[in-house]
Amino acid sequence: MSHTLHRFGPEETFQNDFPFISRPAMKINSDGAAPKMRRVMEIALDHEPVNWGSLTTKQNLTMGFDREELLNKTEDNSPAMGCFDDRDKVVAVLKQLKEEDLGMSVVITGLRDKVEEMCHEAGLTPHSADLALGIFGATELLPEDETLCFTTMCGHAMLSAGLVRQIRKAVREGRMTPEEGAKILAKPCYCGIFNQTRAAMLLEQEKEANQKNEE
Amino acid sequence: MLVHEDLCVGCGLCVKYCPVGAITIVDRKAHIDQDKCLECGTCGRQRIVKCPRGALYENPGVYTYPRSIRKFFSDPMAYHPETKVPGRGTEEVKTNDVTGRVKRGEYGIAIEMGRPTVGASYVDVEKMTMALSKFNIEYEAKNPVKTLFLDEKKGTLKEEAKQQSVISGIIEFTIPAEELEAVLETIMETAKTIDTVFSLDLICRFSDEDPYKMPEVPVLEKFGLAPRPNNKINLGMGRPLVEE
Ligand code: SF4
Ligand code: SF4
Repeated sequence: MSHTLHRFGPEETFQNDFPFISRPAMKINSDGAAPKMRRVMEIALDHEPVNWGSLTTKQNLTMGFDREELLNKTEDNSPAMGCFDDRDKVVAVLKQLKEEDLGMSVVITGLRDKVEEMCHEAGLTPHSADLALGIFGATELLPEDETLCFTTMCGHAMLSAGLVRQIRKAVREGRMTPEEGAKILAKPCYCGIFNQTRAAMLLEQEKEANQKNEE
Repeated sequence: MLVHEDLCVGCGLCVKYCPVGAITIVDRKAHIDQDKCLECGTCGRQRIVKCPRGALYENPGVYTYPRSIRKFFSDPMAYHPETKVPGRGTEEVKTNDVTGRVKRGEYGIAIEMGRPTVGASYVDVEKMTMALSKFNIEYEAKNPVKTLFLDEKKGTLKEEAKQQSVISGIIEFTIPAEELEAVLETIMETAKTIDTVFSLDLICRFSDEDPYKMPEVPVLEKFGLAPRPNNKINLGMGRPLVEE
């Protein structure tokens, strides 16, 4: 599941979007990995991710999050998954992880220059890249670009285009704030990689553009 | 998913949450089209969809083959019985620093059929795997799609699988770098024949010469392909680091 890849939208909207995943490799370094994964999660959570999720406890940060329950249920194959909206926080997490040398794999998704720069700062040498080459086939079946910007933040496609359209409309019409809208849209993504800060920014931009058009 | 018709009050709250539009209101009751429903589980999650009557419930037959194919390839919380990994794919680039699955001089390819948002029938997945059968491809052993082959060399899938649709099915394999051009050509040609979309991923190693420079793949230009500006990077923190 390359579910943090293929986040769609204009390049400038990814300035503060950094999905984070860490996990052991099954049958290679997964035996006895639970305390290490727990520590990875503690370090990440101490640096205030914008979202965090768990398929084990079936919760993400936007729905009322029990940190201790999540940490206590960490198993050898539990992945750590979430999203940051501030590159300095990511660098701080990476520096701490490097210092403690826990040996669990870490991937960050983000604008290539930014991730390279962050690796430099944290003293890390990137190993491999998963490049998003695009979407092909019967692309006429896709929702409009403005909606795809949101739905692709849940890589498992649990966020429906219909819900996104409904929330976009409610924010445009002033029936909901961008932050309220972003929180509703974040819920279906249990992995916690949906970035509410980016979603609120997109909703705000659309609202402003709409107001200008009406003037 | 199914609806307790006697409980449902037809409020319509659940309708918008379904990623594939399988829920409609008919005679003031929610109705789930069982052909369209991909068993992703979203509508039944009370913390997301606050159905006032708790009227949505999981179909007890959903873990029975072949309907279970929908569940395992659509609900990220359902663990594949074969791989023990939740979701539809594998560890791919996430642990490549430890597994060495994609080495220098190789490319890892993932064709994520149905993604984003549209969903895919296994008829479309088979169109792609049959087209790729002219190459000597060894599909990723831990990818659950591998369990659905009738004849892996021919790229054919089991009949019962082809009657199922899913949120996405990932065709995943590694090839030597010199095969990339021909494989991409086949993928792009097949793209014209399918009734869904796919997202295309390419996994590669950073070079030794400039460890901070994103890998460049000149052959992509021939197909008008340019990687998105936002990509997924394995930071090389896993231990033991794979030696090549
Ligand atoms: S949310 Fe519940 S009560 Fe409302 S339409 Fe859906 S199933 Fe019926
Ligand atoms: S389980 Fe998923 S696909 Fe099926 S009706 Fe519910 S939301 Fe739609």
